[in-house]
Parts: sequence; C-alpha cells; structure tokens
Amino acid sequence: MINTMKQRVITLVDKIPNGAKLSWTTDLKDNQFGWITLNDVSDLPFLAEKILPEGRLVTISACNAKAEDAKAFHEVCYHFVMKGLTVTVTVLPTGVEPTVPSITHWHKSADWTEREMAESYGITVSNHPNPRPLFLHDAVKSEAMERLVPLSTMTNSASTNSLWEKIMGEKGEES
Amino acid sequence: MSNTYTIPVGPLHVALEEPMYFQVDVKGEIVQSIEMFAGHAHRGMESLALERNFFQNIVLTERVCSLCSNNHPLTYCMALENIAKIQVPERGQYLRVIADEVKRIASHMFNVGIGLHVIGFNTLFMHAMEVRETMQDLKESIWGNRMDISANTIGGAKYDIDDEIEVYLRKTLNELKKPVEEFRHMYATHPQVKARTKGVGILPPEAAIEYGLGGPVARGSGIDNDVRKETPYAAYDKLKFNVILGEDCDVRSRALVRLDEIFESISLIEQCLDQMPKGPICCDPLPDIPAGQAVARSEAPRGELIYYMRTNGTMYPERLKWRVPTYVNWEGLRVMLNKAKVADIALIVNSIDPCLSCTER
Repeated sequence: MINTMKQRVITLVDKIPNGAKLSWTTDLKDNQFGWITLNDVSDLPFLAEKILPEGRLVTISACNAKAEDAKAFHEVCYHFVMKGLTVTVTVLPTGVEPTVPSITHWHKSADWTEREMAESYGITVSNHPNPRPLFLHDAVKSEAMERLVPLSTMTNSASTNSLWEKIMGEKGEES
Repeated sequence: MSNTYTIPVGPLHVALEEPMYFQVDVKGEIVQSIEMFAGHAHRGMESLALERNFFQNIVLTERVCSLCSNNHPLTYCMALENIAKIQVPERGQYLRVIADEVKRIASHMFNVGIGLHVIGFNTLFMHAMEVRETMQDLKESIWGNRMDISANTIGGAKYDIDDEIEVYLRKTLNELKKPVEEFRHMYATHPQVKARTKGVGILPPEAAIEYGLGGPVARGSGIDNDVRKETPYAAYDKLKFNVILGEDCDVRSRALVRLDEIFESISLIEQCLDQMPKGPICCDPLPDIPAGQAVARSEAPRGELIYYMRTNGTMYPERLKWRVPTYVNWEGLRVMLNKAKVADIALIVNSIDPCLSCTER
C-alpha cells in the first residue's frame, strides 16, 4: 500500500505545472515520509485537489524561516497523510502581504487550521469560505505569534501605575 | 413570522469540562445549524515551546492535555528522535506502549462515564468512574501521579518495571476484566442507555472522510484509521491487536468502540509484559540534535495526534506544531448535530470526547 501511495505522489509531483522538488525520509520503524517543495504557491490548489481521495490534510504549520538561504520570512507546510504515508508540502507565500490560496474547498479539515494560521502569523488565506478569526477575539490584532509581550512587562506596567495609584489614593482618602 | 430561534450552549456546560460556545439555530426542538466559537482556553503553548529547550519541552507538552497527556511528550520525543536518528532501546519501546495503553483505558472509561452522566444515568456513571479509579490507582502506584505520569523522555522511557510492579500490574489488569465486561454488557443492553444513544448523532462514513475526522469518532462510523496499525511506532509492530470498528455511526457506536478498545489495551499491556526483554530503557548518551525537520504521529485516546518539529542545530526548536485529535473532530459536529433534538446536544458533543485545552493549546 505504501509503495502504491509513493508512486501516486511521484506521478502527482511530475504533473505539477510549475514543478516541485520531492525527497523521501524514513524513521527507524521504516515508516515513509515524503517532502515536497512547490516552486510556485499557485500550484497548491492543484496539488490539494489531485492528492484526493487517499490524501487527507492533517494540519498546516506556518514557520518563520530563519535559515540564511530562506527565500521568504514565512514558510507554510501542509501535512497530508495517504494511508500511512505522511507527505509534507512546503510553499512560500507570495505578495506584499504574504498570501496562500485556501484549500478548504477540497479539504474541510483545512478550515480551522487556515484561520488559525491567518490570525497567528498574519498570512492571508485567499478565497477562504469562512475567514473570521478562530481563537482570538476580533479586538486582538492579528499576527499574535509575531508579537512577544512578556507577562512580566504586562503586569509591571499595570501594577506600577494603576494599582499603586489606586492603593495610594485609597490610603490618602482614609487618612 | 419565523419560528426559528437561536439558543446559546456553553461556553460552560455540563458535557464540556472546558469552555466552548455553541450558537445553535433551532426550529421547535430540532437543531437546524450550529456555529462554534473557541478561544476561551488559548494558552499560546506553541509559542512557549520555542522559548524552552528540548528537555523542558517534554514537561511542557505533557501539560497540553490531562487525558491524552502521555501521548504528547511521546509524539514530541518521536519527532526529535526522527531528526537525530535516535534508536530507542527495545525495552523502552515496550514501556512506552504500557504507559500509553493504561492512559487509554482511563480516558475511554472517563468519556463513556460522562456520557452516562449527561443522560442522567448517574448510577452507571458512578460505576464507570469506579472502574476507572482502578487505573488511576495504578498510575499513582507506578508513576507517582494520577494524570501526568512522565513516562517518556528523549530516547526512551523514564520509568522501569521490576518484578513486584509486574505482579501488581498483571493482578490489576486481571481484576479489571470482569468489571469492564459487566459494564460493557450493561451499557450495551440497558434500555434507557439504548433509548438515549441509539440513532443519535449520526455521522455517515462519507462525512467522516470528508471532514478528515479521526480516532474512535471515525472508527464508530467504520473508518479504519488506527495510527498504531497504519504507521507503527514504539512496540506496536510486535504486538497483536484488532482495530475496533463500529457500524451504527451514532453515539452508542462511538461509546462501544471505546469500551471494546479497553479489552485490546489490556491485551496489549499483557503482551508487553510477556515479551519485554531485559536491558536499557533509554538511549544513553544522546547525540547532538542536528538541524532538520520531522513529522511524528501516534494514536492518542481521542485519535490521531501529529507533531511537526523543525530544528536548527541549537537546543531549542525552531518550530514545534502539533495537531490534536479533537481539533478536526469539532467540525464533524455540524453533521452529527444536524436535525438532532436540543436535549441531545450535550450528549452528542460529549461523544466526540471533546478537549479544549488540547484544541487551543
């Protein structure tokens, strides 16, 4: 079964319009892992459609590409499982605002994870059927994962001003 | 005049130990559609993971969820071991299975028990919790904790089983069989349970595939998707067990899959105790972790758990992403709750074994 799935992946990669790079790894139990890097993110819907019916999307990981030779700030990895064969498809979002096309049309399991990626990393997902934020409140600015506000900073600012003014004010009133 | 109303369910509700808000459109007492609002338990754990080194993350990932707590560090360690080509000693692989299956038994009994509580059958609910308590005692005795058992570490297991513990483990499992059999019989035959669970919350297999659902939720609809068979890890490739599948696609089917899986778990632990060789439990010394990326999958009590890790040659992950079983199963509720009665909403939600702390991290 795994060999059949591997052959399907090889055939699929050959048909990708703008080409892609394919490599394989195994773990110590001989489970197979396929790694595809698309040359052009616009080919993602093509792949998402053609990987069906065996390929199902399990999750999407957005990454900050820190390697010196990285072509973009972000990379997005789409993890599919095809009857035990795990396939990760990596793309680089394009545009002034980093953008990837939605694949929810073919994979319903992409719905939540695309919305979470959009709110956490500020990556625009074009043509998403339900683009409202998933976890964060509307009032919270997007790209939450890109902004670090240490808890100590947050609490210090709150306590040094508001809390102490309140305490000293109350003390003043009592005396 | 429209006779459709919108009612709120949650965010705090009896069937959810954690908060999730459902906006339910009903016509009379029949559900027409639902919308879900998450975000009440979001902790930013994936971001925290990048601030911690590889060993600290074992502790962090175990705290993603209490019921699946063992699977998180296990799958995290598997991803790291894939990157660094770390060979887990054979005894360590069996020890990982034992810890995993003990947690699975406790988790399944808890979910089925809560389902009974939701339908108001509190006597059987208490019975379920009493049976589960055997596993809780076992966990406390062997690992020193009732939930987060810290059984895994990078390269193997963090605990061992001596002759005394083996005798205790075998005795406990043996004593567990009859109560679980009795409980399963009661669940399957009791008219009140049958009336409330049969034909309720239907999930056709086509919908399970379309939404990419996993675990006992999908297996209750006949989808053969057990990661332990599909992509073997730890010692599962050396053990015999059946993938339990249901046929009726309803709440009852999902519960019976969980109950039948308990017998498979007991058998798996007994096989481990029979076959487990002597020897080291953990790879020592560990190699340096090179730059790389890996995916690891395991079968948590609630279904498929997947970890993706990217490393850059330092002691900290460059990216650590995980997707928990419940994350994909939520959307399946749109199908299961369609045309359901308002009185069954909580029961159907419980049947996916929901976990918010997992989902939102």
